[in-house]
Amino acid sequence: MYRKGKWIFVLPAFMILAMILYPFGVGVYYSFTNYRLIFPVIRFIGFRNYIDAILSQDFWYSLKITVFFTAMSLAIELMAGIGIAHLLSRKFKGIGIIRLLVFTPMMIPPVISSMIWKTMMAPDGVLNYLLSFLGAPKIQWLSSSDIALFSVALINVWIYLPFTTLILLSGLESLPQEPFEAAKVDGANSMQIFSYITLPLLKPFIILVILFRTIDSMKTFDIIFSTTKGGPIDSTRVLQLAIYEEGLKWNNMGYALSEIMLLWLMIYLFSQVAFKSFFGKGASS
Amino acid sequence: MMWTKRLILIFLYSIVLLFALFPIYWIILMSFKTPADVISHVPKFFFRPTFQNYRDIFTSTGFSIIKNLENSIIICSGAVVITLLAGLPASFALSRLRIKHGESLAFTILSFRFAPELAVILPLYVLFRKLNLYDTYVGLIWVYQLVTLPMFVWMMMSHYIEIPPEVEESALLDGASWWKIFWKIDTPMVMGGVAASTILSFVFAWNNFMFGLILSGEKTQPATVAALGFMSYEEVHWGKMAAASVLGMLPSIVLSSFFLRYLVKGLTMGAVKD
Repeated sequence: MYRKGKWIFVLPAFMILAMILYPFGVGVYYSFTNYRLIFPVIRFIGFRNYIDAILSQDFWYSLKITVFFTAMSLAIELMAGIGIAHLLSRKFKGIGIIRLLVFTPMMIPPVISSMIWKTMMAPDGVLNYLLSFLGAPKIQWLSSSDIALFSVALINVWIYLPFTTLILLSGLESLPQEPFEAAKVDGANSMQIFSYITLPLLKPFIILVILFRTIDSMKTFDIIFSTTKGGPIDSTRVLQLAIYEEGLKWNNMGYALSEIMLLWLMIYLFSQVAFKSFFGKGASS
Repeated sequence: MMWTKRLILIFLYSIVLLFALFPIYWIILMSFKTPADVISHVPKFFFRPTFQNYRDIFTSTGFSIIKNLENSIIICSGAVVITLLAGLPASFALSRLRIKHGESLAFTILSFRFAPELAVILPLYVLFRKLNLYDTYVGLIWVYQLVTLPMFVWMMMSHYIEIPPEVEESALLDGASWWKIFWKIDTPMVMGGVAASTILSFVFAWNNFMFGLILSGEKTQPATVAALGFMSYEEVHWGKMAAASVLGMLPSIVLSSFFLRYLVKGLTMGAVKD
């Protein structure tokens, strides 16, 4: 008797979803056409755009850049995140304030964080100035094609490390105490405890971090757009930036949309795998 | 031994805090510098502060940040109100009522969080031009649902799901409708969560850049896009850019610092509990 009543609750949200799904559907349709913004004569061309994208070097180049960017960010974030989460899980007076301060960067609009780092990473900027006291040479953070990708990944890390830490910290705090006490009684050292107890127990949370952060890094746009715009010499030309230019600068709407659909497909497949391991093995451990 | 361990710990905390806070400190410092102090060859930590940058971005003709801050407030509030109206009953239903295909619906809502923004923005760019929604508040509030709704529903589900079923069972026996249970019993129990999810949705919307960049023009440009504008001209206005950045990040920092712990709950509990 409540069946009808129940659906009313989800109807508004469903309508909004439909309004978002509609442009997405239009996008899928355009991706099978030769649609260009300047002469809007739309012709259906089947999988032509998709084949062109897969055969083009630009697509694979940007995909490679995006994957490198993601892998670098994720590796640093995970290692630093576990360490910082450990530090923040210690209990003492004032830890609340320290936590709040450490988490601040994730609340700032990423564009603004990127601009801040761009000013700091200027050749005569404060970052090189501070590092010079440690004896470091002047680094061309954003203007050398060898280093720029690492530099933007570093900005990515600064913005989202708090997020990673936050999840790992809540993971650490939710762990059962018994295995740790038992290990201490058995005389395990802290390195053994970490690798045989903490890490396996943290696994679901680590998977969660990998899931969120891989997907978000694969979609990176704000950081690159507000610092290097893809340069120098295309060394930071990540996928969403390349697709943005393809669609809105060169007006190849249909082609750009086929590339974005390919990116979404990859993200979707990845999230399926990650979700399975999160809900599957993760829930039981 | 005890002392060395303590020193190492203090050192580690300092490094972490320095890494997290120095950039923020630096941009605040820069927003009070004169152009000469900004471009000084050796970065300056001590200088005579000036309010000129703030005065400039508020009063300069043709480029006033006030309009953009206003735009951000209008767009984000509008987006959050709609998300609240649509998302609150939905998250209640998806976590409390057994709905046919409810789980796959919930998953569909969440999966929008993972979609590359351009997949929706590019076709919307075409549609908005046709429907005359380009550079309008209505259009932007519509597309901002992509940011606010999935996050809000996800966070709220994690709150509703914690209410013990007994609370509802007795009310149901008394003949209360689901609507009454939603409005009079369950929602009042999670008001803290509602407040936190609302504020955090606002912050996520405020921090967004891409939608405003592509779908807004002169009339509705949000603050994040405008702040980048100070950097994109031939001559970079560092001081003004810094002042605009400080104003752009202030609301987010202030609002979200109160509600951080709720975010963790939304991100972990909501996902861990099947």
